[in-house]
Amino acid sequence: MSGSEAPDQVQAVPGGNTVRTQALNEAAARAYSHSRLLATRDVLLSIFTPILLLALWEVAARCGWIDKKLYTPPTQIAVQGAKMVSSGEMWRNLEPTVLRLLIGFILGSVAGIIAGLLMGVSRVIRAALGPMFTALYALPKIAILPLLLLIFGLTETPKVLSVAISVFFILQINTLAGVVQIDERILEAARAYRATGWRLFRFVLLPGAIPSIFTGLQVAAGSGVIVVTAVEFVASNTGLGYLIWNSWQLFKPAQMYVGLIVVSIIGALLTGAIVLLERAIVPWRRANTLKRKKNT
Amino acid sequence: MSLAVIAPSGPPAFAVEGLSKMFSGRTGDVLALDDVTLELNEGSFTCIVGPSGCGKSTLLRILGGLETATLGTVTSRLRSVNSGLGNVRSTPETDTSTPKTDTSTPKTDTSTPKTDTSTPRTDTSARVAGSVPASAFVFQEHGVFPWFTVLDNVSFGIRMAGVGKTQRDKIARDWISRIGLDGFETAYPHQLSGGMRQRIAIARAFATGSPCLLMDEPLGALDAQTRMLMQEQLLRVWEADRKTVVLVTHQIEEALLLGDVVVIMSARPGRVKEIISVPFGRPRPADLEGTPEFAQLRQHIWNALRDEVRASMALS
Ligand SMILES: Nc1ncnc2c1ncn2[C@@H]1O[C@H](COP(=O)(O)OP(=O)(O)OP(=O)(O)O)[C@@H](O)[C@H]1O
Ligand SMILES: [Mg+2]
Repeated sequence: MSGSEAPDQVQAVPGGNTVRTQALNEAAARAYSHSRLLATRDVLLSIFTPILLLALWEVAARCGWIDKKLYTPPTQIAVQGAKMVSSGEMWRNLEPTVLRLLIGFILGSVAGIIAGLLMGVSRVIRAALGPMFTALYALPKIAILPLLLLIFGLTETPKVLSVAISVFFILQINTLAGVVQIDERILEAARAYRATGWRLFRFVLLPGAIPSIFTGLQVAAGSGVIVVTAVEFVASNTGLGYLIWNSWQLFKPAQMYVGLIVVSIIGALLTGAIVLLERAIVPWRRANTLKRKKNT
Repeated sequence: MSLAVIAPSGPPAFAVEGLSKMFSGRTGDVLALDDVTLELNEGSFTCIVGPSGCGKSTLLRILGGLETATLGTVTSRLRSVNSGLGNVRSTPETDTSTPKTDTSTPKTDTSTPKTDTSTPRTDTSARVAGSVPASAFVFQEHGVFPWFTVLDNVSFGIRMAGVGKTQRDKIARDWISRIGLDGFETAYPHQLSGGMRQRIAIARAFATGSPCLLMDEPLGALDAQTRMLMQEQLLRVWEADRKTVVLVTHQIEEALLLGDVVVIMSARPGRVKEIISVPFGRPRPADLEGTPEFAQLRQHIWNALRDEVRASMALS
């Protein structure tokens, strides 16, 4: 089929009607810069709102509208944070938390993704494990911490395992859902072109499930941070969770705020890293359409 | 059911005999096809029309080996193409020996020369290193992979057939340009219109170089103008290649414009109601649709279909 007619070619024709082409390019450039403007505005707003709230907090604490001892003003929290960084206390607590979280997260998600994919591919495995996993998923993971402590003692293992287990179930469920929801028509097309075995997996099932896997990773990131903090509350004398808990017992609100802030930053960074990874791996889902030509 | 032998004469590519298909489910059994007997000659262009739900897609899927018959047999003479013209690089994982239709009888390797009458065009179809399936599909709802670019989508079939990247890209680019999607090689399907996606599916099927194309309303998603254009292009490609084509359509005009043979199916359970040999020569003249013969034939088919469509509406 000769394609010279190409009725829906969208690129401007080079050397065509130059006046019109120019107008077209200008209009496109305007639309583009407008959308950039909106994007910039969104970013600014997202930064501005928390800054405004912090400023309000500061003013309220300084004017005595709220109890300064309980609601430490942001500047004092910052000072406290700087102190903890220079004394090394920050790193002493940050490092174990990050390690527990990352190791647990990676172990749990790798295992969860593999389990989900296997269950998605094999009906036998799905039947054997599915109902059990669903039942276990409902169990609050933190509730098995005592059992893990009983088995492994007060070591790192139960802490990492707690994170891994909670992450595992989230990923297993999301991955399985991702494989199962792949469009029947897509699978039929794959079958018609004889994609089987490894190639079916690699070119069809895995890419089909990946968006859902990333949704799972994002949910699991939040969940992992919660679990690691909670575990450190009760079963640890290092880590940010320990720091927060300890601040309560010693009545050091400034230190507690520092701990809370650092924990949320860790959560945000992990989520952000996952979003970036998704952008790199899943180009076909990106909202943006054809790449814009540079020269307009 | 009368056995109809279909023009143009040639060895049958498919012989369908007493084919019935029953879908059993919790909500009861559905008899989709009932005692269908057909012969489709190699190099013929067959169009199937019939009311919605009469089993056209099912028949096509059985022909392509995607579905198994409940009763009856489908014999396929088509073999998978395995000629690389010198540089054959069939990969070990694509087996070339298994029968391609589930129900196919052992292939009596007939000496019938392939219909590849070698119109010396670009060496892109039917000349692919590796082993391509005997039939390629274009689906009713295209089934384009959202995670592949246009290029990767079009080359998917030959990739699965084990064709190397360089050759694959060359073939795919050629087909992309033939369906008028130049410049969109690296676009993803979600960036394209529905009609463009449908064209990807068509290119993907043609690019495999399979000797048989099974198309399930391939132009259904296109607007009327693009559809006409694609019909012309489809005809051009087919007249150059003379592959065996089975095309399901709900447009009587399309069936008459494209086909050598029009198979009219009855309401569910699908039976062959009538087989019409289309008398128009090839290449089909541009003003064919305006001729009285065309109008007469169209009326004839519509008369045959009307009752069936009514019956199928009453059924559901
Ligand atoms: N996988 C399936 N399971 C159960 N029933 C099915 C299945 N596939 C098709 N059927 C039934 O078989 C009958 C024929 O379906 P088919 O898709 O072949 O119809 P069709 O002629 O292609 O219709 P249309 O023109 O609307 O595409 C329908 O009644 C449908 O409900
Ligand atoms: Mg159909």
